[in-house]
Amino acid sequence: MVENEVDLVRRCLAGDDSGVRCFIDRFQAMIFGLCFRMLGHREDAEDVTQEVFLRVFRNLHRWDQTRPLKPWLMTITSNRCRTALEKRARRPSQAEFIDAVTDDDRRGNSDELAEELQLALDKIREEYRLCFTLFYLQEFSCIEIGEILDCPEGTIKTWLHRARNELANHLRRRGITPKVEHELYRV
Amino acid sequence: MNCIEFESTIRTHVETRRPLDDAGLKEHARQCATCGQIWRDHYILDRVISPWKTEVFEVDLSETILEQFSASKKTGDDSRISQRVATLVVPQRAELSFMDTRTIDRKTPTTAWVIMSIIASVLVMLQMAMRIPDSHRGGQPAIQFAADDESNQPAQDDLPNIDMLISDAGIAWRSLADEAAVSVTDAAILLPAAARTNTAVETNQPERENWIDNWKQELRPIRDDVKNAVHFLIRVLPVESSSAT
Repeated sequence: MVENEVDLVRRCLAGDDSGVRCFIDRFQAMIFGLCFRMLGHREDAEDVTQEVFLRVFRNLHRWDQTRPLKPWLMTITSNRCRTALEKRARRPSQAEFIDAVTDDDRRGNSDELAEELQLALDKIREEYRLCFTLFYLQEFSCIEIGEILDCPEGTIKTWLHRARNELANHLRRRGITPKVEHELYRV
Repeated sequence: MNCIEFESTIRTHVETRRPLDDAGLKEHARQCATCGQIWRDHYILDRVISPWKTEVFEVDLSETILEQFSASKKTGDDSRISQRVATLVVPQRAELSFMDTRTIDRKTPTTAWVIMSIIASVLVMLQMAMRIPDSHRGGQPAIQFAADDESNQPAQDDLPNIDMLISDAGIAWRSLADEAAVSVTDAAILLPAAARTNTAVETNQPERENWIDNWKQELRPIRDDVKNAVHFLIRVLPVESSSAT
């Protein structure tokens, strides 16, 4: 049985190590997933994930238990990812990160498509990427993303559509053309 | 289906994740080049997002995070965590009550000032009451103090010790009396009309249950009383402080 979020948080606040471990186990995949999608680099994503957890534990007492925990965690993760991206922008080159994603492991057609999308994601604006990732990967609604990013729902919808348009342009330029022509004219 | 409907349908499908009616869209996409491109983009993304979403990353950072967490606890960064356990139960209520306290604190100076002003004005009235019998004792009617000019003020020798104190207070008493008069007027404004029906002079205005609108007119008797009292004090009290202060 999955432990209630409030109870889990209470155990963490009480300094119960097993509670802390349980908390990490439950949320690390979700947090790491967002970090990796945002940063496109495994080691960076791991570093930011650790930062996120430490920050979460430091501020756990501030969590409003009347609201769900996941969006709160996503807000912290988003902020840490943004900070990491700002730091990266001050570094000389970004090419290595993209290469790291491309060359690491190509495991077949669907994986290649996923990597192509990740490559395209790295090229779009940070807000669009975050919005797209939260919407498709974490499956938050536009309203929830608005709460996480502290933006109006309309802005989130705009970002989502712009993200989609830009990603589609990138994919087209990369020669990703699924058999859509065939699909379109088959009916 | 036209282009606007086509785009709107796609947008709604994306935003709400509702299933799409392919047939109508495809038909329009075949006829319109722009919408055909939108359809192709939509299709590409749908194909690509699916494997991207399901891509699983093996990650186990528990040990590393726990080590870092323990290290930060040793340095005292997180020592406050355990202290907050008790407050977690009702954090909102605690914050709310804190906010209420602050609100009260902000209001308190005004309330205290009104109360103190009323007390001061009562003291002023008491001073007046104490003076009136004295003047009677001296053979002069009290009303004459207010009506006469400064030359008719009673001799300082006839006044009791309290007059010496008033004399020593000097100009400060005049400002205190002025402020007291203003505060009494302000406080009276806050009183509901019903509470003043016994003391207020009847006017031609119809009686109202709630707050009065034409308060200036209604409060004229009180204001005149206060004004008389202040004028009385101004006439009686010395302008300059004595050498004792």
